[in-house]
Amino acid sequence: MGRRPPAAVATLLSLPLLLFLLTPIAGLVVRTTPRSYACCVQAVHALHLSFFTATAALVVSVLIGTPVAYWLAHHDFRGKDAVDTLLDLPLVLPPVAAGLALLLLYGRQGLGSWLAQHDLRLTYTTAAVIMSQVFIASPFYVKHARAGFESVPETLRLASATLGASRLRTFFRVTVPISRYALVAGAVMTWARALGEFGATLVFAGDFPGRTETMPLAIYSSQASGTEVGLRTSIALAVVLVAVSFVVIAIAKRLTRNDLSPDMA
Amino acid sequence: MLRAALCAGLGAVALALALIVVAPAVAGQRGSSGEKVTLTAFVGSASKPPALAAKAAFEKKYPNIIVDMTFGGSGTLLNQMKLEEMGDIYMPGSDDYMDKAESQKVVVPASRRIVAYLVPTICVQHGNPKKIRGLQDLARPGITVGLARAGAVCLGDVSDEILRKAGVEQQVKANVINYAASCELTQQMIQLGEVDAIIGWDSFKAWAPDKIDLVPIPANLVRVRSVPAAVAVYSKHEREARLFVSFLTSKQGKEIFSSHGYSVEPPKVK
Repeated sequence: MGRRPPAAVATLLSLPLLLFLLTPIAGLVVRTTPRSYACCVQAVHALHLSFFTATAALVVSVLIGTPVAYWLAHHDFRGKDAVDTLLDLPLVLPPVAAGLALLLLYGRQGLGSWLAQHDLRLTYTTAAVIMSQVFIASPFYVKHARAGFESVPETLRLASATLGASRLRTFFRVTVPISRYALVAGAVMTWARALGEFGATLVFAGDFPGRTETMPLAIYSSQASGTEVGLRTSIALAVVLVAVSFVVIAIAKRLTRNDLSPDMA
Repeated sequence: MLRAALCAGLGAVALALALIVVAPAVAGQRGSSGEKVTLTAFVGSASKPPALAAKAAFEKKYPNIIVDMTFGGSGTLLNQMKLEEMGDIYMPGSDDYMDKAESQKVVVPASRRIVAYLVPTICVQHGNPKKIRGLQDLARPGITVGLARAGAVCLGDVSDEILRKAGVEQQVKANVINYAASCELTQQMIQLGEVDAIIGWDSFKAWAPDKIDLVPIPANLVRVRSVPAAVAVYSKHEREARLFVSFLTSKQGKEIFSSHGYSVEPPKVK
């Protein structure tokens, strides 16, 4: 085992990235005044909608992503690499392009025409917001969950089976507990990414206040007015979103804190 | 191993710093070579096609002037110019953003010119399957309407004004299924058949002539808007910037905008 670099050196090498990430956010905060936050009363709907849709997107991602992650973790099949690569596509596809793809498929140019015949619509609805967020954010969950499932020793799963446990029971009583930190990490990343989703939402779900206007869209709309007030409002909204997200993520990580020790690394 | 890692890390930091220092100097050289002048134009993205065509024609006519264009929402562009105190030309999607630019002292008022005219109109799907004849029909049960977002898009403010004047604002807004965040997204709603009608600009039809029909709005309800251009107060090449703005309103510039479906003469609204 090699020697660890001195803490001071590691800190010094970490500073460029940390400063690069933190200073713009700090810059947002110092540009606001208490008066700026008066806007946030009006933005309560947007904040509430953001939290609701991000949480719903997370639930959907977990429900439909867990089987995929398990399948990739424990099964070998022809085309596995292709499937894995397909799951990476939403991560590299520009969100606006993703929104356009969803709009063309689920809108009137695609399945939406059938939905319209039954007086149903997906585009420009809260459901469209959730769908956009699932499309963009679910790969984060799948990747983390797969890594977590792969880390479960095969011997433990086999031992569970030999003791008479069904696959489902083994999954819930052995696999999930052991991989829970990876699952939670994936869930946090997914929720955070969904919360910040903008491009796909804008194109597929639109910017209807109270229905599809999430916080990122509210921030965009405010600064798009071109006025000084609009700019200050957008900054204040951004600070609120950053602060609330930070608290939620910090709490989630605190609740599931994993003490890494050398033999677990 | 540690030494190698340290060297790699310090090398990466040094390279990043070098790029940050060198890049502006290199960019600056293009504009200050003495031979070519580079202008930066902030252009509303709805005007992108004719603006790019105008740029190409202008650069052909004046080979020593390069016009770099950045596109985006008119309000976003205004913020960028203001915060960075940069830019030579501002060409927003509508005149109310130019009014804001003037009041915020971002542009030279005397340099302001009208490049094209925008007439608000009802845009319906090709063939007008829902038989929409006027604003009252937008309030019919079962009709789906799309509008631009007021406050964020000039077209949204215009739509609200028209509906208010016509006395059908509440009724029509009950049928609105989306408020789009830009002119292009507003037009897209009707182009993709997501709504039965929008209130848009007459130039929207030119963007998708086979998909959109126009239903005129009564003249007493309509205020014709315009696509303006002006020289920014931050411009370091004011002479060349004024030249470009003049080009946009020249015979050649008007032909370019007209070929893209814009009205370049004051329209007689019916």
